[in-house]
Amino acid sequence: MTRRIVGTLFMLMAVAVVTGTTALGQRSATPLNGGNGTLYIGGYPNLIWIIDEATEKVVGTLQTTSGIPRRLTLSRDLKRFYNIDATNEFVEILDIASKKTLDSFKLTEGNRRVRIATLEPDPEHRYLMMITRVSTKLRDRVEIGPSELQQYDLATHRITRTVPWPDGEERDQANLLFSPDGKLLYVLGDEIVIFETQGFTQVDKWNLSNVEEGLGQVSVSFGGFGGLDTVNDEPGFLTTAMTVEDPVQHRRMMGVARINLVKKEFDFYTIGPAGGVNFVLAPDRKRGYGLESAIGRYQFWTFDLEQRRIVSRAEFEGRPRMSLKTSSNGRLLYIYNAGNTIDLYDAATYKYLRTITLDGDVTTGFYVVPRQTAPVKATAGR
Amino acid sequence: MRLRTLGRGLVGIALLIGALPLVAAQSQTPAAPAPPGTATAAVDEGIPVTDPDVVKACGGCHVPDDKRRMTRISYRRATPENWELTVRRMMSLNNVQISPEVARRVIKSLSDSHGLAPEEARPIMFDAERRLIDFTYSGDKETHELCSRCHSIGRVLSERRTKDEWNGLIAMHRYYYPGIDGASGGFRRGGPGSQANAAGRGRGDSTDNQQPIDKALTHLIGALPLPSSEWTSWSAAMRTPRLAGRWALSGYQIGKGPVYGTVTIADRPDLPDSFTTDGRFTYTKTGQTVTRRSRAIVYTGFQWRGRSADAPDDPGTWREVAFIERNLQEIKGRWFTGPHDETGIDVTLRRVSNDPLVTGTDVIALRTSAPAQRLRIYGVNLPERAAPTDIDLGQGVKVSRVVSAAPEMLTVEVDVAADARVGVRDISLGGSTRPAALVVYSTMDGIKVVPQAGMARLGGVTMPARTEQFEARGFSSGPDGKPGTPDDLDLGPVDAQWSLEEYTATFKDDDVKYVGELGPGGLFTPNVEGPNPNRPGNRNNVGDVWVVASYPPAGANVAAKPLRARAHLLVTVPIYLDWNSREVGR
Amino acid sequence: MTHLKAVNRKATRVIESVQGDVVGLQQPPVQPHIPLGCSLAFSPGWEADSTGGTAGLCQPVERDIFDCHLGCFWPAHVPDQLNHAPSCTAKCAAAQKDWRKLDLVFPG
Repeated sequence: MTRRIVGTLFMLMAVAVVTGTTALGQRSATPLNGGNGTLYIGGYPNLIWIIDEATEKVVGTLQTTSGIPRRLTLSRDLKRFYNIDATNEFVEILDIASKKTLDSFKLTEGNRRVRIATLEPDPEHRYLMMITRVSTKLRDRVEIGPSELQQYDLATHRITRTVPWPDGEERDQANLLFSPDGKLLYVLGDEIVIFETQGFTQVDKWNLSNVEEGLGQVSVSFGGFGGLDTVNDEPGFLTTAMTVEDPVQHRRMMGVARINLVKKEFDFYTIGPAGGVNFVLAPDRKRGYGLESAIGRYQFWTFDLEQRRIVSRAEFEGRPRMSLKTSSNGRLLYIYNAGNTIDLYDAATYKYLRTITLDGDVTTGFYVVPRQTAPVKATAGR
Repeated sequence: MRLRTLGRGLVGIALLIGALPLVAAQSQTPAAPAPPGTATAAVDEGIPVTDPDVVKACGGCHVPDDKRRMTRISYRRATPENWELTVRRMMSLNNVQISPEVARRVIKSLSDSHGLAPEEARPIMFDAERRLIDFTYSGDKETHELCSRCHSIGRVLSERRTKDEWNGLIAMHRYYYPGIDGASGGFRRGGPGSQANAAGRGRGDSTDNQQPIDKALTHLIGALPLPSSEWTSWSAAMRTPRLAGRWALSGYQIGKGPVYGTVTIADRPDLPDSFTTDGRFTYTKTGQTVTRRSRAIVYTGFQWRGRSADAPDDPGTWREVAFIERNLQEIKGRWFTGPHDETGIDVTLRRVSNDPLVTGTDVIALRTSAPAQRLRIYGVNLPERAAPTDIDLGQGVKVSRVVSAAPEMLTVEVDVAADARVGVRDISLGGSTRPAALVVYSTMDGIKVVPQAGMARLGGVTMPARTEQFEARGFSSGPDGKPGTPDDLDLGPVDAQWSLEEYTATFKDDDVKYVGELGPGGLFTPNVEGPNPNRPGNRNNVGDVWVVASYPPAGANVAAKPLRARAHLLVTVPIYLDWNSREVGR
Repeated sequence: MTHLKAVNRKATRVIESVQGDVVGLQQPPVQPHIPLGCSLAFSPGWEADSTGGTAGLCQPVERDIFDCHLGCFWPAHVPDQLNHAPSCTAKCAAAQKDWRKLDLVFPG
C-alpha cells in the first residue's frame, strides 16, 4: 500500500511539474497553495471564520455579539471589520488582531426601525457613512421612509448629518468609498457622485451615460453580494468591471474601469464582448480574473491588464451562484457562495484542486487578506 | 426627514352610489399613507363595520370612527381566503391573540360585509379553487409581472382597496420584506442612472423614470378601487341562499374520468349560512362509488366553501370551493385534496326537481360508421321506460336499443351512420337537454397530453411531495381537416402508454434518471427532496422532462404507428411555507 | 445557404425549413412558461430559472437556503428570518447536511 501511495505521489508531482512549467511560465515543484495570508468569511450563527491560507484550516473565529453577520466591510488599514447583522439593524466593529468587539450600536428605537443597507468607515475610524431607511410600525399600519445618506459619529454615537441626495433623487443602493486621505467620499452606483467630507457638498458627478462623447451608456458593477473589496487595489484606486453599449452599433462590450480616488479620474478600456462576468483584481494588479455564469455553462477568464486583453477563457464544472476571489499570492482562485464550501482552483490551468469545508453555511462576503509585512497606512499619502 | 404626505384626496364623494369615477392616475409618485388622524380626505369611501364581534376583536388597533368605519378594514374588500391571510398575519406578526373560533367569525363577517361581488370573484375563482392554470392578467403586463414574482396574481385580484390602502399594502410588503425593493421583489431600481437596468429588461425608454412599484400602484388604484357598482348592487341583493334539497352531481377528475352522482344539501341550523351535504358519486370508468359528507359555509351569499367531514370537528381532507349561480340552480367549482391541493374533481351541481335532468355521458365521442356503440347517459329522474326514440342525439345518430334504465343512468346502444355530420351534439331526453354533451367524429387524428405544462415538487422526507396527473385525450381535426383550429373535436381520455424522455435543455442533461416515476395511469410521482449524493454536484432530484403518451387508435392495424403526444413537466423543489387556507369553511 | 441551389423538391423543402429556422432564431425570445404561483424572481430562481427549467437553480438548493432565509429573498417560498421563521435554521448549521431538520412553516 505504501509503495502505491509513493508511486502516486511521484506521478502527481511529475504532473504538477509538467503542468507548472507549461502554464504562464510558473514553476510549481511544491504543492500549489494560495499564499500565507488569512481568509475571513462570516457564518452562522454568530461568527467569522479565520482560515490560515497556507494550511487551509480554520484557526479561530471572531465572535459577533449582535447576531448573524451579514455584510462585512474590511477597513482600509486591514485592521477592523465593520459588520451589519442579518436584520440590517445592528452594526458591530471587530478588531481583527485581538478578536474583540470594539463597539456595537443600533439606530432602531422601539417601533422605529432603522435599516442600514451599506456603510463605509472613514479611513481614520472616526465616523461612518451609511445609507439608511426608517420603517415605522404604528398600531394599525406601517410607514416606510425615504432612503438617506447619513454620517454617524463613532465617538458620540449619533447621527451628525444627513447628506441631501444630489438632484433630490433617492438612491436605495450604492457602494460608498473614501479616498485614502478621507477627504472625498464616492457614492458608487449607476451614477458616481463625489462629495468633499468637510461640509459634504457635492464636488463632482459622473453620469455614466455620457462619460465620453460617442462611448455610449456605461454601467459599472461594484462589489456584488459581499460589497466592495479593495484589498488588492493600489491604495487610492478602485478597479472594477464595466459594460458599455455604444450608440452607433449598439454592441455591448465589457471592459475594465479604474477610478483614481484622489485625483477624481475615471479611466477605462474595453476588452471584449460583454458577458456577465464577475471581475476580481489579482494581487499583482497586472492580471484580473473573471467568472462567467450562464445556465449550464461556467467559465473562468483571465485578463491581462497591461496588454488589455483576455488571455484565456475556459469552461469548468461550476454551479449557479458562485463568487470569485483570488488567493493572496495570485496562484489560486477561490470559489465561495453558497453553502459551506470554498473550492480552490489553479488560476493558471483552471483545474479544480480541493475544497475547504466549513462547519456551517456562510453568510457574508469573503476576504483574502495578505500577510502584512509592514504596517499598512490608512492614508496612502499621494 | 421628509415623510411624503398625502396630496389630493377625494373629498365629498357620495358614498357608493351609481357608477363612481375611477381614481385618476397621478403623475407624481403616490405617497405613503399619512399618520393616523390626518388621512381624512379619503375616508368618505369607507364601508362601515357593523358586526360587534369584529369591532371587539379588531377595534383595539383598528379604531372605528363616528361613522363606524374601522381604520384599514373599512377601506378594503376581499375574498374569504384573502381575509384569512390578513387575520393570520395579525396573529403571527402583530401579536393579536384571538381564538380560532373568533378568527373564523371575523373572516366570515368581513367576507360578507367587505367582500367581492360575484362578477368580481368569477374571473379569479381559480385562485380559491387552487387550480394550476395559465392565467394572464390582461389589465397591465408590468403589474402582472411585478406582483407575480412571489405569489399568484390571483391574490392581488382577490381584493379591492382605496388609494391609501393600496399604498398601505405596498408599505406592508416593504416593511416585512426589506429586500423587496431590490433583487428579491424588483419594487424599486437602485437609483438614478439605472437606464442600464431598464434597458437590460427590454424597456430601454430612458424617460421612464418611475419606480416599478409606483407604476404598478397607479394601475392597481385605477383598476381595483374600493367602490364598484357590482358590489353596490350585490350588497343589496345578498342573502343566505336557499340550497336545501337534492342536487345532481356531474364532474371530471383528470386521469380518472367522469363522475356522476347526487348530493343532498341540508341547512345547518347552528351556524348561519351553513350547510351539510351528503352524497354519492361514481367514476364511470371504474365503477367505483364514493360516498361523501361535507360541511360548508357560504360566504358573501355565493361563495361555497366546504370541507369533507366525518365528525363535527374533523377539519376535512377534501376541500370544496364553488360558485353559486345567482339563480340558485347551479353550483360549480372544484373539490380537491392532497398536500398541494393537486388532486381535484371539477364539479357541477344542478338542482333537482321532479323532472328528468340529463347531466352527461360516460364517453363523449361517437364514431361514424359504427354500430352498437355503448353509451351511458347520467342524470336524475330519467324515465325508466325510455324508448330508443325518446333519446335524441341529432342527425345520423340513432339509439338502437336501451340496454338498461334506472333513474340515474341509462345504458344504450347507438348506431352512427357513415354520413352522420361530424361535430358537437346535444342530448335530449324526457324534456331535458344537455347541450354539447358529446361529439360525432370520423377519425381520431391525434392525441394530446394535458396538462401541457405540468409541475411536480420533490418531497417525501420532510416536505410533502406534489404529484402531477397527466391524461391523454384523443382529438379529431374536425371538418376542416386541420389540427389546432377551433373546429377540432375533443374525443375524451384514452388509455395511453406513458413514458418520460429527457428534455435536453442543457448538454449532459440527465434529469430523467432522478426526477421520479411516471405510472401507467399517467400519474407522476416525484423523487424525494434533499441533495442527492449520487447526482453530480450533489444536486437535488430536480429536472425538466418530456411526458410522452403513445396510443394506438382503435381499429388501426398492428403495424401502424401509434399516435403520440407529449407535455412538459417541471420537477422542482419543495415550498417551505404552507399558506393554504385552513380556516375558511370551518 | 445562398451558395447552394435546390435541384429537386426535397432540397427546396430543406432550404425553406432552414430559412424558417434562421428567421426563427432572429426573433426575440419568447417568455418561457413558469407555473402559476412559482416565483418569477430569477436570481437564480426558486422553482424555475429564467429559461423555465431547473439547470440554473442552486445546486443543490440547500446550499443557498441560509442565504435565502437571512435575506427573506423568497418571501412566499422559503422561511424568512425576519418574520415567520426567525429560528428555523437554529437546528441546521450547514443546510446541505442538516436539511432534514428544516420544518415546513405554517405562517400564522
